[in-house]
Amino acid sequence: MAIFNLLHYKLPNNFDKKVVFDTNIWLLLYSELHQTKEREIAAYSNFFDQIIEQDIEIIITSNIISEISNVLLRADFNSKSDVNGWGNFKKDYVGNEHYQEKVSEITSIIESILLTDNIIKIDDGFSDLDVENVNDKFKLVDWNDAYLYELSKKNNFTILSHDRDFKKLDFTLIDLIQLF
Amino acid sequence: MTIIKVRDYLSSSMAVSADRAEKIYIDVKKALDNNESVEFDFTEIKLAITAFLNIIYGKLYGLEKYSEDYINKHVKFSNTSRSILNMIEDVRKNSLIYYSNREIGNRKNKYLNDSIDGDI
Repeated sequence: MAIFNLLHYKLPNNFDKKVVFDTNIWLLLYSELHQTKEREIAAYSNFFDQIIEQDIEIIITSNIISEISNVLLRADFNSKSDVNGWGNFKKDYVGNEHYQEKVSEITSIIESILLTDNIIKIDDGFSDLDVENVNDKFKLVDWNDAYLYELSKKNNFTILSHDRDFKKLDFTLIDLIQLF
Repeated sequence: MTIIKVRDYLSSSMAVSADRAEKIYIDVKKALDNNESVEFDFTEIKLAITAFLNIIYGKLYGLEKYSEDYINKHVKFSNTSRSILNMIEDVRKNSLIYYSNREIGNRKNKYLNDSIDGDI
């Protein structure tokens, strides 16, 4: 088991693991980024294409969907707050027409993600995971990443992530694939 | 009228690869430059991700040579599922915002970039 650089990585024909896409991968694939991160989008989207071709299962949890939604809402709020004089996310933005429009857009994205043939929705196994292990990794990475790592270790999932922080964790038991 | 059968460029019913999208973009651009209208035919396509639609369609709004009206008039879609149609409409809306107001677009890009890089 190891950390692989996507630039030099080729999916083996007999690849038999499940892959969990970290939130940042879904954001690269589905957010409205323009003229930026083109290299990353190309690499991860082409890899996504290979995963679909080889019918490899992609794991998703409700927490990942929650993170995607939160980031896209915050990006919308931040980009428009000056123009609209918004100071407070909940008070000034949640519920207004910009928010409703963004929610409708995010709903389409979630529907699209869940339409992927080989997507597998899983319960996040919180009751079976050792929270002490998560908290231990939390000293190095954020709690959600620590949780995703422990969940993946328990289930032998390969992690696809664009977050460099994962390199602080031990990948001798499971695999990590990223573009650096 | 040039009809782009999206499925012919793909290896599955899922439109996700940026490289495949770039091939479509080249053909679309060629058709527009020849003063032809373009119709994207999404027959047998189950889903299309934003990154794919941004390349084949969204970035057309960034071409100085063509106005928004021209693109709206000369680029059409057929045989889209409800999900894909929603995604296309969102890509159109967001591309128009980005290319007409770079300040908002760049600020949004920055927040998304920072989130993706794990900086926030």
